[in-house]
Parts: sequence; structure tokens; C-alpha cells
Amino acid sequence: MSNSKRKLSADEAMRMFRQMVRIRTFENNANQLYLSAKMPGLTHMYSGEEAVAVGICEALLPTDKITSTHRGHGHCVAKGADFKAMFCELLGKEEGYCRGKGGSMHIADQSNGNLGANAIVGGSMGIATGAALTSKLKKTGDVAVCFFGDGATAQGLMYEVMNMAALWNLPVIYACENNGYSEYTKTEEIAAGSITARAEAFGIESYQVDGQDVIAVNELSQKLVDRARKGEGPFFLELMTYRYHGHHVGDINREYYRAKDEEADWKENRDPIIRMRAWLVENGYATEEALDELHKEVTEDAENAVEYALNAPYPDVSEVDMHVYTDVKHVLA
Amino acid sequence: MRKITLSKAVNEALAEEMRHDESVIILGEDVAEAGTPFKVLSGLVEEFGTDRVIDTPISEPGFMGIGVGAAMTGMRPVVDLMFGDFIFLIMDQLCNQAAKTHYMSGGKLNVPLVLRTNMGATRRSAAQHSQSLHAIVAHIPGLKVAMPSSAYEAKGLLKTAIRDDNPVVIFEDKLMYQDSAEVPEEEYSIPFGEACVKREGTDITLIGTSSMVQVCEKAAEMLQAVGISAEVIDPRTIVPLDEKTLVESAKKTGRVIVVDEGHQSFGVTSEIASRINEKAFYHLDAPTTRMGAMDVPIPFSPALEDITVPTPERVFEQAKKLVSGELIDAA
Amino acid sequence: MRHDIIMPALGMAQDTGTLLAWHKSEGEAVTQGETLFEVETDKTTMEVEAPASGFLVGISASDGDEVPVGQVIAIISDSADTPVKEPDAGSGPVKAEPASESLPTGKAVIMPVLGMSQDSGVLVGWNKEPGDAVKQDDILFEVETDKSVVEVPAGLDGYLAARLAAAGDDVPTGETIAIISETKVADPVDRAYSQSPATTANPEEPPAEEPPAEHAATSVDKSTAPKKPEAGKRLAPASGGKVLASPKLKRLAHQAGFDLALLAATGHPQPFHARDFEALKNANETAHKRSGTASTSEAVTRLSARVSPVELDAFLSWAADNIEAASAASVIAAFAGASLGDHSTVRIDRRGVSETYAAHTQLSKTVAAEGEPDVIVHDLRGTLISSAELPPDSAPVISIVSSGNELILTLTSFDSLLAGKDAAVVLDNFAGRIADPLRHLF
Repeated sequence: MSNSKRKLSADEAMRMFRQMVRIRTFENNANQLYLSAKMPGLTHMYSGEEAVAVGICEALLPTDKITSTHRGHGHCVAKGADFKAMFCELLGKEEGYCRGKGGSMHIADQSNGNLGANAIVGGSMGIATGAALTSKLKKTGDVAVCFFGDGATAQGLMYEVMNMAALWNLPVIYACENNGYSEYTKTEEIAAGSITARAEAFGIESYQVDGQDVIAVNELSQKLVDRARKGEGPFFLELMTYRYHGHHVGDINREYYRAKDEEADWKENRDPIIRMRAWLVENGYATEEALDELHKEVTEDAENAVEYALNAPYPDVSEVDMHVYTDVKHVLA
Repeated sequence: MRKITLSKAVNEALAEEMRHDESVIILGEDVAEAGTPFKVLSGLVEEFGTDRVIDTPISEPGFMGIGVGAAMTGMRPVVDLMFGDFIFLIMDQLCNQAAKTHYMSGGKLNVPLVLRTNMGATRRSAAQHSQSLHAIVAHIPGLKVAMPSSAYEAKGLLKTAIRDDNPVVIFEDKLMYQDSAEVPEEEYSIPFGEACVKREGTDITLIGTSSMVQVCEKAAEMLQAVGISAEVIDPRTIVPLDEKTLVESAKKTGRVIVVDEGHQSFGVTSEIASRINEKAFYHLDAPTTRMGAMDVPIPFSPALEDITVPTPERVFEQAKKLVSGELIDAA
Repeated sequence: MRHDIIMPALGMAQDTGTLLAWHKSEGEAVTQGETLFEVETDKTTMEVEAPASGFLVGISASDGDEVPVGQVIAIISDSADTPVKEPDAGSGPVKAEPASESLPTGKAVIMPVLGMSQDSGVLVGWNKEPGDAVKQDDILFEVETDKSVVEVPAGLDGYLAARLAAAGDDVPTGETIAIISETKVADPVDRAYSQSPATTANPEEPPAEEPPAEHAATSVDKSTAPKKPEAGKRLAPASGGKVLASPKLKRLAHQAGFDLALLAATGHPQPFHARDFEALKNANETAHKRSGTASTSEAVTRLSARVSPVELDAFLSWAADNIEAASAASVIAAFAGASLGDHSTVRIDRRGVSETYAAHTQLSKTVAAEGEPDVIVHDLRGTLISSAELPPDSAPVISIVSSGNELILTLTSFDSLLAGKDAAVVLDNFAGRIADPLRHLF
């Protein structure tokens, strides 16, 4: 665990820890909902990558924008979303963030600057860059962060928008969550050369950082976000991380591409929550008891939200042809 | 009234809207100093500067995606796609992102974006620069599609498009940029979903889109000479579609030809013909007939290219057959 | 807080999992994330972790058991006290239906999750009778889901002690539909799912709602569903062979009561269009005249209807007071004419007087006229005649007689003039107007 050059306040440190625990707890509940056949469809777990979303989002203001991915619950929680509305969305309920119309892969939380998760790998790179263009033209000072995985570095769109972001000095940070696997294939088998070198080719300042060290991620993010606000962007981050689950919840039989020993090593020795917990106690930010209490609170919060969402109503069928256009209430009427 | 070219009409619409609303920007290849290959945008960068008339690299998916993101966060981008054929390059950004964002977010996010592009064959540009792909766009819920048939419509529809909070795709016929029409000096806009009856008639209805409106008007002149009274209707937007005006005309004349420059199969002509069959069936005195571009890639050779698209002569012949009551087995 | 440990759905189309081994034993303390058991499915083995910390209790499946997906196989409880009475923890039978005292003891068989997004399955039928001995691999029942029928094996050896659903029942997944006991029971239970008290006994399950997609489809269907066609708007079928005519001409012909086949018989070129309406009219009128001299040996249609005279009497007296020049004869002529089609000529014979009217839907415009009738009406109301079937004439003949509290309307016609369904439509129209004259006005 890196020691911050700047002394973190107790509030900041505890908030980061809580947000990581919230993400892990959310995902555990989402997984249970899938396994017990209570959740329609399937979902992609963010467990293991918590330090990336939290380290970055804790450096952002609510007005800053993010775009997210199919593995997006972590970004959504980290950007300030509420459990109840998230679980409702996962279950297709009316009170979900998108009135049940988006589901797990499309949660958008505009009030916190989350422009939405995207189920097309690399599909949101233009959107994040466009949000940065708005910031520049309107001089809002907002920074846009584009979350994507190592798999998305194989999409051509990334190179097109990085080129324009660099040409126009846009306040955008490309955050590549390198979890080592592009769906069911090792990243080294799909990505030639270095990931950061891709951005460097456009003259974009690039960094590789330990994505399991929330303090390291946060410290770097704080610096880059401040500089992007001043017009020194864009930036590129490669965050070395790991997903504990398969590509999606149904990806169980995965030894053909990933060894169990490797999974165990990351879970036992590099877990971002375990590491920060130890660091908090060691540096006197919290006692073990206080952290247990925090865990319990979050767990109860999540269980209540799940219970609430399970009992919440589905949208009325009349909603099916609403929200196709902004100016037509029912497009099929 | 003064007459101006379609190109000038588009230019005026953009200039007026950019003066009204600072969030209107233009994004595309060679839109600034070059004013596009068709010179439609000439002069705009001088008035509005390179911050609002933004030259992009040749990266259609990239600048379309940036347009979507800018639209979601408060801008009103007018994205310029140099040729309609390039729409295949931006399908993900247009159809998966722009079209679905409002719905997928349960109405929370809007994409007030205009995609200006073009269509139309017979410019000797061959198969990758001559297509009319509006039907593909019209198939996707969440997008609106406007098809101006003259300078007047081009200006009025573009102004409405820029003020619309939804993604709108405008297809201008690239062969019509230098065609002039009467356009008022004062500002005006044309609402979406309101067809225009260009010519009234009693024996047959000719429904045409974009440049096919002119084709229908010429055919109507020829029909008049042989004593057949043709009504010509321009839907102006195909999404939303003014079904009521089309169906009422079909009921009145009992015979309809739908003419559109997209490929005939699975296209706009098929859609409109189906709706007329569904809603005016018991008033039809002849089969509703489609006339689209041939179902072949657009060829280069003028000898071949010219026969791929509907012409006034062919519409005239088809109309005569329908009015005379000839048994139409295969139109 | 109590956490159910379930056999998880791991594969894409999996109905059971084999419990390979428990890593914890009954009553043992477990921590969240610790491996509880290993399960094999689709040739994959997987370790299942504890979803919460607590004590593992109520283990109901043993190593090697094949357990349906979704079935609870243990509980993590706050205390080591087992919440479920267990006569034999080793082989793991549980009381399958704690809510129902009458059920035998044994292992519950549940409606399995078979499809990707399935809420329930329809029980197609049982392959075993109550009390039968069953083997693990025996097909116990068939279930229909996602348009496919799947045979479900018993999963364990024993006796079919209870069948809690019947063929045709739509049972939510996870619900118990049978119990397999270790020993043969004396009086096995056999009942339908709807009779089961358990259908309401599980408050955690959301009410059996249909998936939203199905609602959506229903709603769209509703908005675009055609209205029930009104009887009067049906097109008269063309007699004889198929006639090619435009939809518009067919509509005009129907409204005027013309038969397109009569035009086809003249050899007029097809397809017919609206412009052929005049020719159609001529063909029909010529045919009517010709049939006036038709031989009496030709086929005749006879139909009759009974209606109440009450509304007609009231209407006739109202019409006499309120409509200029209206008489019983002109009103009945208008009704008869309208039943046949627009602009018909109607002859009314009443008490020895014969009057001819040009019928019009507006009663005041139905006026005396000359010409050959399209229909002849014998109004025999008020006479002593109580039954009449007059011979056909040069036009269809309808007689009206009073019989008791009813009017009997009888239509006779040469088939060449009006026959079959067409005749039925005409008489039905007429009877409808007599029974409810206001219908004519609107």
C-alpha cells in the first residue's frame, strides 16, 4: 500500500474504504440474485476492481462526467449512486435509475454525472470525449473520465477519439482497467505491444498504476484531474487490476483460460479492500471494530435495498412506447 | 419571392440557428475553411470561428461519437457526414448510442444532435458514393429522418431539426445543391410529420421523397397532357410520417405510386405502400405500387447508372397502366 | 439474519447440480467467503462460497446427491441451533411441506429452472403413479417451458409419496411439486397444484407476475387489434367463380347490393375497377328483369324470421304523426328497400292495394314511384292469416303475418335472384329493422 505524500483526512480515507465495501457488497448481492434466478438476464461483476473506480471517482466532483462499461456497477456506486435505485434497475423495476428500461448494462445516473454504462465494448469512448468537448467549449471546468477495459483497446474508435482529444487538448482521462482478460482470452493474446504506448503515440501523457492500491490510484487521479481542469489534458491511465468472477456471472468453467491458483493469489494477496483495511488500522484511521461495524451497516443497507427492489413494482406496460422520443409521449399511440 | 439554391438555404439555416443558440456547433471533415466539398458551409467559419465550425480528422465513428457525447452534455452539434454512404461507418454511434440513449436511460438523457448527410445517384460516383440509405436509419426507433425536396424544405426542416431534442438525420440530395427554389427572406421553420400536397389531383396519388418529388411533379405534368389528374405528395419527414395525409389522398384517388430513391426492397416505398394497403384498402382501385432504386449496387457507367433510379417517364408509364386498369401482376 | 444456501444455477441450461462434497459440517461456524461446498454441473466443478457469516445448519443434501437448481440445501443461521427438525441428518430428508401437516416426509422435488428467463413451467404429465417406487434416473415427469418439453428424472431413489401438481398446472419454478420418500407410504398424496396450501405459503416469492415482455406484447396487440367487423359490413360473396375486382369496386358493389358475378357473366373484361360500376349496375338490372320470366321450376330459397311487433307499432304511430306523407306502407317499403341496398324499388301489397315506392334511407324521401320492384312485400298484419309462404315472383317476396305475440317474416325467392347467404343477409337486415326501427334511422 503506497503512502500518500499528502496526508489523507480521516473522512477521505474512510469514505474510500466504505465505497469499496459498498461495491463489493452490491456485487455479492447481485450475484446471489442471479444464482437464485431472481434477476432477469445476466450481469458482469466488478468485484476485485473496486480500487480503480473508487480511487478515480473520489477525485471527481459530482458535476464531472464518467462513461462506464458493461462491467459498470462499480463506477456507478463510486460516482454516488443509490443502492435501491440500482437494484431496482437490475431487476427491471419502475423505480430503477432508467425505469427498468436499461438494466444492469445501461445504468445511467445523470444527477451524479454518470452518462451511462455501455454494452458495446469501447462504445462510450466518443461520448466521454464529446463530454470533454462540451466542457471546453462551454468552459464549465468539468472533467470527463472514460472507463474501459483492456479488451476495448482493440476497438478503432479509441484511436480516433484519442487523436482528436489530443489535437484539441480536451479535459478527458482515458482509464483503461486492465484486468488481464478480454472476455475469455488473455490480454497478452489480443494486445500487441504496450497499452500505454498507444496513447503516447498521440502525445498523450500516460501512466501505469497499481489498480489494487486505492490510495495510489486516487493520488494520481487527483493530480491529473486538476491538470485536466486547467486544460492540460487529455491523460491516459492503465490500471492493473483483476476481476474475481468470470466474464459474466455464468462464466463458471473458466480454467481453460485462467488458473484457480492465479485467482486465489489475487484474492488473498492483492485484494484492495483487505489491503486498505490493514492500512487504515495501521495508520490509526480506524479500529478493527469500527471497520466491522461499517461492513455490517453496508451489508444491511444492501440487504434492505434488495428486499425493497424484489418487492418493487414493474413499470406499467404502457411505458413500453414511452421515452423513444423526447417530444412524443407514446410513440405507438 | 427570391430564389436561392438548396446549398445556400442550408447555409442560411445553420447561420441563423448558430446566431440564436451558442450551443449549436458544426463538426465534420473539411467543414471550416473548405466549407465541405459541396461548398455548402462556405463562410460559416468566418462568422463563427473554428471553435464552432470544427474540422475533424477523417474519423467518422470518432467525430460522430464525440457529437453524441457533446449532445448529451449540453451542446447541439450538427455533425456533417460528407457522403451518406459513410453512414455504415458510424452505425454503432448512430443506432446503438444516439438512438437508444433517451430510451435506455428511461428518459433522463437526451441527444439533441443533427446528422447532416446526403444521398442520390446519377452523379457518376459509383457504388460507394451514390447510395440513398435513409430507410436503414428510419428502421431504428429513436431517430427522426427528414428528406428535403427543395431549398425551401431544406432550410425549414434543418431549422426544426436543430431545435429538436432528439437525434435527427437529414438526407440532402447531392444533385440538388445547386437547384434554386423560392425561399422567404424572413425566418421560418417546417414542422416534422406534416406532409405537403405539392399538387392536387383526382385520378392517382404520386408520393415522392427528396428529389423524387420533382420526378413525380414532372410525371404529373405528362399525365395531365393525357387527361390524367395526378396528386403529388411530399412526406418531408419519413420519421415521423404523416400517414393521415397519405391515406386520405389514397382514399380520394384510389391509386397510389410511391417513389423513393432508396433500394426498392425492404425500403421506404414498401413501408408507405403497406400502410396505405392497411388503412385505405377498401378505397383502392389498383394495387399500390413501389418504385425505388434497382436492387443492385449503383454502377459507374452512365449507361447503367441512369436506369437504376426512377425517372418521370417510368412513373408516367406506370401511372397510365394503373389508371387504365391494366392487370398488374408484377409491377 | 437467515441466509438460504441454494443449489446455484451455474450453467446456461442446467436443471440440477451434483453436490460433490461439503467443506463444512452441520452446526459449524462459517465466515463469509469461505468455501461451503463443491458442486458439479455441465462437467464443471465449482466451489460455492458462504454468502454470509454464521452457522451452517439444516443441511438437506449429502455428498453425491443430485439436487435441482434453486433448491435450498442448507441455511446459514445466527445460531448453531438447527431450525428444522431432522430425523436423519445423514441422508438428509427434510419435511418438504412444513406448512401442510398431511404431507408425507421425504425429499422435495421442485419445478426446475430450465430456460434462460423462465418463471414457471407447465407440468405436461406424470410418468409415475403415487406410491410407485422410483429410481434416480427414472423419468418422473415432463415439463413444458420456453416452447420445449423436457423430461425430468426423479434425481434419487425412493417412493413417490406425493404428487402436488397435476398435468396442465403452471407451477412457479422452485415450488415443490412432489415428495419422494425413503420408504413406501401407505396413502400417498395426489392433488393439483392449485389445491396446494403451499401456493400462498411463500411470501418471499413475488406474486406470479408475467414477465414484462409479455405484457408489452399484449398491450401492443390491443392497440392494433382490428375491431370486430360489424355484421352489415361483410362483403357479399361472389356467386360462381372468382372475379377479379378492385377493393374499391367490391365495396361499391356491396353498398349497392350488386353481384359482381353477374357482370363477369356478361364477359366484361376483368379486372373490374370503380369505372365499371355502371356496367355492373346494368348487368344486375338486366338479370333481375330476365328472372321475372324465369321458369317456375327453378330453385327457390325460403327463409323466415320471428320478431316482436311492439317497437314497429310504436314507431309507425310516431312516424305517422311526425314524418310528412309517411304511412305504414312507405315505412315498411323504406325498411325493405334499405335491407336490399340503396335505391331499391319496393312494392307493398296490403289489404288488396298495391303501392310501389322508391325506397330511400330517409323516410320522408321514400315516395311513390313507378317501375319493376326489386322486392315485393305482402303486409298481412291485422288479417286472420297466421302463416304464409307466398310463391316467388319476378322479385324476392317477403310476407309479414301476425302470429300470437310475434310477427313472422318469410322470404321466398328464385335462387337466380337472391339465394343462400345473400338472402339470409337481406331477411336479417329487414327483420332487424322491424324489430328495432330506430336502427334504421341511425
